[in-house]
Amino acid sequence: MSYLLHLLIILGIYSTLSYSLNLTLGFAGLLSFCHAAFYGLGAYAYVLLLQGSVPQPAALAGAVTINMLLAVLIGSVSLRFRGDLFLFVTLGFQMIVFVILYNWVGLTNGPYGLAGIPRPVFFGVMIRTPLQFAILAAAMNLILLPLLFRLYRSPFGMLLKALRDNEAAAESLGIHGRSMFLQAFVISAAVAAVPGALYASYVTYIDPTSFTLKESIFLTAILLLGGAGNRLGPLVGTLIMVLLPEALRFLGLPDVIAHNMREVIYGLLLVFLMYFRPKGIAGEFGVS
Amino acid sequence: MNLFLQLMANGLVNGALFAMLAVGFGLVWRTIRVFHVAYGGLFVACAYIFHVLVTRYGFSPVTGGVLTTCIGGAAGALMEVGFYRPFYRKEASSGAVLVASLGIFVAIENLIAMGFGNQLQTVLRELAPAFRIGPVALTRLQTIEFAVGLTTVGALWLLVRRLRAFKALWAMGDEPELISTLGLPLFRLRTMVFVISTMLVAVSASLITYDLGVDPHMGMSYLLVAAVAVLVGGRDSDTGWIGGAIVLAILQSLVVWKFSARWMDLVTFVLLVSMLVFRPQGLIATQQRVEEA
Amino acid sequence: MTMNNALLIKDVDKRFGDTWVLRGVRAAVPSGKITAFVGPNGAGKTTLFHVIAGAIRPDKGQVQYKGADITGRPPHVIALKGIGRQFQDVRVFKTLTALDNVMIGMLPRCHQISLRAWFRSFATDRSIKKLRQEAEFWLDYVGIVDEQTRLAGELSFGQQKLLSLARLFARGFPCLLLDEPTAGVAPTMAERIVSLIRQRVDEGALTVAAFVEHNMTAVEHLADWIHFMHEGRVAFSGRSDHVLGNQAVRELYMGI
Repeated sequence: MSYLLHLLIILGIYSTLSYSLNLTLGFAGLLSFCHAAFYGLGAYAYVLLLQGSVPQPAALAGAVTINMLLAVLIGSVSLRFRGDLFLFVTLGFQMIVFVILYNWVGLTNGPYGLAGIPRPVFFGVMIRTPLQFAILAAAMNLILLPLLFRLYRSPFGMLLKALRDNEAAAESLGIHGRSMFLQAFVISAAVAAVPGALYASYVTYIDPTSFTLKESIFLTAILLLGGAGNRLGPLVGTLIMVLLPEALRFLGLPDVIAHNMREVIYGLLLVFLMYFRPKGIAGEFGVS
Repeated sequence: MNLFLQLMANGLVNGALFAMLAVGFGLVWRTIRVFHVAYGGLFVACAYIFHVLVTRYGFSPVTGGVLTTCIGGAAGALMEVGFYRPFYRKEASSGAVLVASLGIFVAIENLIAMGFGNQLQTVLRELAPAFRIGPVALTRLQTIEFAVGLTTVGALWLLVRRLRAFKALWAMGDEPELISTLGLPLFRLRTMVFVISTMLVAVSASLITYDLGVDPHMGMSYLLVAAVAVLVGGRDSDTGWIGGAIVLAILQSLVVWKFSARWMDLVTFVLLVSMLVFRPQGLIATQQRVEEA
Repeated sequence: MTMNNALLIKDVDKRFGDTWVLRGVRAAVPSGKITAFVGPNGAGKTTLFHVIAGAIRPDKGQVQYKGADITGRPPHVIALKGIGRQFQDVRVFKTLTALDNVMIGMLPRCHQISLRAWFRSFATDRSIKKLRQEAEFWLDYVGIVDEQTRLAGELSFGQQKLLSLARLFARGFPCLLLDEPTAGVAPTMAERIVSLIRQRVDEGALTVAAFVEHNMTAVEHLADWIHFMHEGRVAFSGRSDHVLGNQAVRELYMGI
């Protein structure tokens, strides 16, 4: 039972990460490989603020703000480019963030990570059991997802889609591509801080190896597989990618093999999807 | 000073290896116009092929290397015929091809991990004798790496300028449809590019495996080295790719000297980002084509 | 003859590598008239439009709109100054409906950066509902109102051209740059496009229009003023009947 709850918590975390990335990838049409960096930065910022005796709500707000500021910096540089180059610059930033987290031992404790992360406390109740964390994860989604959905449906979301379809045409109508893209990028990054904080307080220990390039690729793959640019795709992608190794283990495959097998399956699925259905299983945006 | 020279020498040796990787990647980029992410997967595959040939079948490293190169060439041809060409025929978008290429890479990497385990495996060999050139000491393997890299890349550099086939390849990158109109065999040229590219990968992978060993996840690091070298050096210039590779290798060595090995990756990517921001055409810029805005 | 010169191109040079695509181009696009840029392929017409619209920076020279210097400003700024543009390859937003395509152009500037843009629902917000009705009007104006819920990518090329016109009319650009508005469509469609443009000018809503064209029938019907371009220069300018009747022009252009 508690294993099922653990799965729900993981699903909850990746769901928020996917829906936040959806704004940049699905709506703005920008493929990036740095979302795990923001996930990790959010986690680290939250924990370090807590260690600095900042109360929890402020620490969370602080983590979101730090992500926003860093995203403005990273986004301003990256958004000089589009397409493959943009992807590669964000990859570069992902690596830079990882190296800094891994090597700035004075700040982040480097490869040793940060342990003893305190559990969250809500209205005097400490969140400790898997059930409580599952409820917290659900609450996180119930608050953040509707906000994201509003953005998807708003004029802002429409403008992003227009830019995605044809940036030159949109600009000829007075829409400033870089500014809109930057806003989307910053919002995505800011939202990613919250599951970062949740993850940190759930496992009570974080180290940089949870926030690598591989993880960024995984997050992007969720959207490429499940679909992006709408409300259904990210859910489909998250369910498949998170539950697949569990299903494989159920069939008797040992743990490590199950994870490798998941990667093989999604790798091949990506190939087939990009050939037959670039919009992914349930998506609206096709990679271009 | 001696340490500095030693590190420079190490850097040049690595530069030769990186140059092979960069040229292999850059060739595909320049002529097929594809961000060949699967290159990393081919690298790992060749590395393991070499490893198996030498440790399990007892081939000598040289024979193993040659065999791996031949198998690599075949794998490259297969990759073009079975993967990139269908996408080309379908006129898939470049993003879709990139993602599919990534999918292949992920699949190959994990298949290898499933088959061989996730740990580093080395090739048993004796401690290498070292040569001394003045204050600098290089192992025999390092000298071989440098020599192989230099000759391979040098030969290609010359061939590119002499053989008409390469002129056709460059044109293929700019206007693929024109090639068939001119009566040149587009698909055969494409296959040739992938064969050469993967052979370069196979040579590098064999040398690196013999030196350092294999692990299933090494592909990404070397793919990134190749890609950064190409982007930093100048996307469309083969001299640029080589230059970029050498600059990268030497910078890495210097960082190890001045700071520590931990910050090596930071240098690679700060270099990449800085180059793209301040000089996006790379170290060696080529003529811009007339672009439709 | 004095004219209110809304758009002025002064001594614009543009070079790509070793090729001079534009050489000291001087042209005026007057208010209240339709101006055509004609000439053989490679004369630099489209490049000139790219320069005016801010997609390309000229190496030398100036572009002025209503007396203000707009040289080298980015495309979205040029649009905000009131210059709209139709592309030769149309460029509609393929995954949006025809109606949404028109509405995108209409979203007022405040919708772009304020918080209101983030939280209003595009589907149900009242002020956007008004925009939607207007957008429908414009689709009807150009004649494709029945297609309003279809995705723009599914429309025929001619319909997409009408859609892009509707988009521009709905936004109310006082100045339009049209790159080969009748290219690639059947003659009846070309006629419709021509009459729509003429209509807007006659209604006084469109004060400046410039277009590039190879379709000489369209040029005859639409243009009041013609600039004939050849090898990156404006070789001949004048009233359309004068230019079209000119022997040198006929030889240079029709002979090619």
